[in-house]
Amino acid sequence: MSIEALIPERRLASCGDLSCEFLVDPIARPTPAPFTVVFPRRRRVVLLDHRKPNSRAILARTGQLLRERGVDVPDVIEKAGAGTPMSDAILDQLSGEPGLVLCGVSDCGSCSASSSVDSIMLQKRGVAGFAVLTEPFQNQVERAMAYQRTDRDLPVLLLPHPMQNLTAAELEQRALLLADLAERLLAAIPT
Amino acid sequence: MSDGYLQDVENCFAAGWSDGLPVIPPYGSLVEAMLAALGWEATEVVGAIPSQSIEIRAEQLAATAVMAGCETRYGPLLRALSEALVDPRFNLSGVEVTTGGVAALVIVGGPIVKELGFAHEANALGANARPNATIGRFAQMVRLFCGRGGGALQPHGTVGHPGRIGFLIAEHPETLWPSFHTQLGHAPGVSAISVMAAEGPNSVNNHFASTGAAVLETIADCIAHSGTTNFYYRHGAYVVALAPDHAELVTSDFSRDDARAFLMEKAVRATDELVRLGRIPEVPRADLDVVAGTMRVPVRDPGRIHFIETGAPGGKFSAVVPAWAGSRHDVSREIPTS
Repeated sequence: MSIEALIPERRLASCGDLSCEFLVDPIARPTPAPFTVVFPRRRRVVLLDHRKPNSRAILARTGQLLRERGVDVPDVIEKAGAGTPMSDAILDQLSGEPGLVLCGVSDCGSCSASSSVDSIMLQKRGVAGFAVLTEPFQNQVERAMAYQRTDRDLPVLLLPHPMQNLTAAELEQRALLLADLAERLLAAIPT
Repeated sequence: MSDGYLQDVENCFAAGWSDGLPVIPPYGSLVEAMLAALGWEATEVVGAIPSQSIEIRAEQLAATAVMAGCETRYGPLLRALSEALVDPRFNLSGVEVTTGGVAALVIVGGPIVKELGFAHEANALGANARPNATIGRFAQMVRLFCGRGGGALQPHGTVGHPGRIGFLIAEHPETLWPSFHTQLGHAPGVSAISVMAAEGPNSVNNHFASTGAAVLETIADCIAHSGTTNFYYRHGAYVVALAPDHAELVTSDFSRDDARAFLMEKAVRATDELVRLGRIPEVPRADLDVVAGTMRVPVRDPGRIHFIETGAPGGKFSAVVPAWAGSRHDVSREIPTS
């Protein structure tokens, strides 16, 4: 089913013999300003963690791999809760960031929704923020974008599920994949 | 009942304006009366989810109250409840979409329980009385209608529980310990409404205990079962619903603070066992105080074990309601007297 088909109707009318009256819409709907999807302008990757199990381990190893490939990667930034979007303080800190910001790694309902929102909040500040989600939660970005008006679809970086109970080899595989996905976005930087 | 009315009910289903049950269609005239009872103008912004560019307007809350079957005389309570639900600390959208599958638990206490006719004895945690059912349903519908990003976000509750249709507990008007809401900073004699993101209730049976300690130990075992969500992060809370027979034993032997301390001591499991079972990662986060070789209690702050006196006399049951591990706050509002 398409995301559009999931959106509740905006208007219902009740019509009698002579006239109709509108029913009052109970749904609180987003009314966002339009924005343009931005991509990184520098070979730099900022990692935004939310402290869910193994998220930090994957991000930290990804950062290490990217550094080995010549990418500028500062220390991981940590937000307070996985189930809520980043704080205004972190958003302000990241505003003006010219590199790529990876928001995640999210492998649950509220955290993947929040990482998707983090990505959109960054994009609206002109920062190339993208959510890092696992496959079962991949449509969270599309859902979070349902009411947004943009020039193109917002990319999402996908890793295999699950993130917990991983062996060292599985963690390494996910970090390698994430580093490769980040490299693909960095490759679009004009030289 | 006219065919037109039934068609409007069906139209609400088809439009996505339903929690899965038939609703009272939110006709303008009914919504206006509800707005007057709430004391708000239609377009007044009651709450917001800025990160989703969502403003929650009074008319949406009034329409929801109508749809849930609420009476206008519930207005002051519904206003306080609405303010609590949209309080950012409650995290309405997180509650809606979490894999934890939690509901918005509503707790009502004080003189308003009698005034509005809440059921607070038989089957108190799922009472078939209009105030309990419709106000409990209203809270879930606000969660659904306002917390789902306009219908775009996906609820991920893994198994959920029946409280996502309606989950309200009314406290006895007369209690042995001070009222529930005194634990959240309100004066004893007032009416108040509280909301918590909560899992479903666990029944606790103890028919043969002769002391409060024995009842509390049974409750402690339920709080600390190995599957309780809170064991790793410990941000969550617990509501202990004491029915009269158990309440009499417990309150005879303990003050409320002492009972809380007793539960903190008894509601524990071995950290090593929790790691073995996979309830705690082998390499835990440093700030979560996981210490091998020690016993672990699933709640960090004793102040987040709350007691409520409710339920029917004659049965030897109580209940434990675990709060969502992602919920760090209990939100409460005093209900103004009319």
